[in-house]
Amino acid sequence: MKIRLLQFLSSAGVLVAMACSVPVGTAQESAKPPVPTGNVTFSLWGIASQPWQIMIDDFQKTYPNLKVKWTKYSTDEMKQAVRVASAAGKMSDTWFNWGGSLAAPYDEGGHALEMTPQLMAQYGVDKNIVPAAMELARNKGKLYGIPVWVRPMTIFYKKSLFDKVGLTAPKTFDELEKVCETLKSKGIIPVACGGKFSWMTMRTTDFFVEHFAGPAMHDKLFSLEASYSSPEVIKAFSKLKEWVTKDYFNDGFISLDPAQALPLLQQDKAAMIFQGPWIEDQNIIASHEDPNNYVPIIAPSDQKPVRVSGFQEQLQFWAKAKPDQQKAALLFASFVTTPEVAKRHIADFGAPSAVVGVLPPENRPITTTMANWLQGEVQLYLPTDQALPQELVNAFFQAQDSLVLGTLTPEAACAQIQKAVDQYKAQHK
Amino acid sequence: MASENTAVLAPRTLKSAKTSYDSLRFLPWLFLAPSLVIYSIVVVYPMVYSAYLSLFRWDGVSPTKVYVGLDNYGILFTQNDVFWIALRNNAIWLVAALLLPTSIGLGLAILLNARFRGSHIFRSVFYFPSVLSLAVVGLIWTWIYHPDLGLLNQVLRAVGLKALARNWLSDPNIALYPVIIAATWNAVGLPMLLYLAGLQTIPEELHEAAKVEGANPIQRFVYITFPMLRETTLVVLAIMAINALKAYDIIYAMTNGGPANKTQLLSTWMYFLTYNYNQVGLGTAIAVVLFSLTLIFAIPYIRFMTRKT
Repeated sequence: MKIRLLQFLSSAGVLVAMACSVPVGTAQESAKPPVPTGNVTFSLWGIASQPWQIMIDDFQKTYPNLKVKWTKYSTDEMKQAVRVASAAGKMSDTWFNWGGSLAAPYDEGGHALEMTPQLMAQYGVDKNIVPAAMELARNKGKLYGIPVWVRPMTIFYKKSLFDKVGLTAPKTFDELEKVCETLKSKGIIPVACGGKFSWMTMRTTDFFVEHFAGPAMHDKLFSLEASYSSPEVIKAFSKLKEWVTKDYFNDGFISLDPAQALPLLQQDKAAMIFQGPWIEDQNIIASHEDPNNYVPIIAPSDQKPVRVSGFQEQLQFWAKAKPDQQKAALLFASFVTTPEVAKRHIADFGAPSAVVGVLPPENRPITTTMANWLQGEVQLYLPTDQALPQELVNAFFQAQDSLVLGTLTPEAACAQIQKAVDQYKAQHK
Repeated sequence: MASENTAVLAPRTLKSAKTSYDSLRFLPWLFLAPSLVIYSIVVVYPMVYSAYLSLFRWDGVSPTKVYVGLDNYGILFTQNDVFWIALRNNAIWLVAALLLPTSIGLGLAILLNARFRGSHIFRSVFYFPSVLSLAVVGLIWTWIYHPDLGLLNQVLRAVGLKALARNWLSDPNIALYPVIIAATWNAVGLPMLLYLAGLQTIPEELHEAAKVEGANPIQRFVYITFPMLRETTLVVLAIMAINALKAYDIIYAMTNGGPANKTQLLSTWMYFLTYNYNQVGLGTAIAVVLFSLTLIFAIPYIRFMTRKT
């Protein structure tokens, strides 16, 4: 696998993109995807907790001759299933995937269908999907799927708890640290974290890197052009260590399941958490709580352009699928990303849509707030586990977690990551 | 006339009998063929293919594999620290699996072999954890070990043993042991059941005679019960050893191999390298090592069982 350049991460924000895009009506008129004749059944592999069934029902109602066979997977099962299928040379006609280094092997291995400009025009992708989401999905300038959702991740605070101790939302990094100090002095855990899979801790680490290294260098780290042993990254890792030492995270967070972190906020034991908009439906509304009590703030990195962590989620298509199945799968993705259809399903998405002009309903304040950021000047940077080649993700996780456990110093942790980067670069010259 | 006929027919009869004997010799193979075909496809071929893949550097997706010979084994043994952590953890896990479920299972079996009211209910209760999947067991115990909300720390605090409360799954020095306890809770049912079956085969007269001779319960256990359970013990130990080397789900569910890979087993590390970190060659090299280790226990077990049959 070659090093992926991620310069596109600093592309224009979603609102700018939306403002520049063609009005909905025009998009609909210009997109005329071909519909397979006769009865066609195609396979879809998707995450079980995502609202595919609603979209499938809607699609099958519109196209009665087309049937979707949805196989449900959990997150890790999904990654495994696609990997095994690609090795066996028999993939699903369409499958859910993330972007960055999680999708790159399928793009570069010839498994995922390249969305050529012709295909994009034929299936309305160029008109219906906001360009910023497409930019997040691109691999070396090429698109290998149709983005469906955009998922920003940032700091949430529990409003009732902040009100109780007389705190307001921090707007700068210094304010954030003061908030943590105050919360700690009041016996409240400042930040709930479930570090069992390392990626929840990584969100905080990434935030510190964004703060100390800045957007340009952060992107260079992802493209392996900057060194992890640089003073900026060491400062970021030192800050993580400092927060651990000051007990700003919950006890034993390093091995806690991410699902066990939010309950700490729900029980008023912790005040903040680094999360994404999906908690609104999956956790908060499901627990009959008021989503207005969990407020996302732009993680204050004090940097320009303003960025938060985030990623897009897409549907990819098997390049070697039978023509009718491929057409039907493309039609399905095109269907669910037409604005009027996406508007019908947005209430169930739990994330800002990647579709032009589609905003969350008013009763979803968290998703609405985050969608509004993306429509403003807030941009996204990929999380490390999608930005770095997967071979290096383990090195990053191990160094980060060893730092938290106190078995590595910040300098040693950074050196360990850089050593893995150097080995990777030597192997992939 | 009759003798003439016999003289003519005898060679033919012999030939026919030989032919039918020859065809009968292949009959068992014919019956075994479907199983052998399925076994070859789902077990033998993947194993051989995995060993073949361990000779390549491959991300598992790209169409090209780079032949590296035995380099992956070299990397595992000389550069991959986590491999050694996993190997050490497997050794600890193996010793614990041979000692804990076996001895607890034997103890429970002896207690439950006595006839008393409700003994059947107790047998079901103690066997119940074994019917749960290890993922469910992992989930239950993860909550029990939760540092803030977990039952264990809350009980310790409530009874004045606050000093003993700790981050059970976060401390890299002890994290493996709470997982072993959870796995033992799940595993103890099978040896208990096997020992119960073994205890039923010991003639009561032996114990009666020993009692008459003045043997106390410990002496009866040492000189009668345990020797009579020798075969059961061999089967239990072999099964426990093989299961220990196959352990995967509970680590995945409880610690995901962490913190910082300190609770990885060979099976989990093999999975992570293969499926999460795109290093199929290294992952399959671990599979080969793990397979070789399993054979150490599997071969004597299979030979013993075959001889017994």
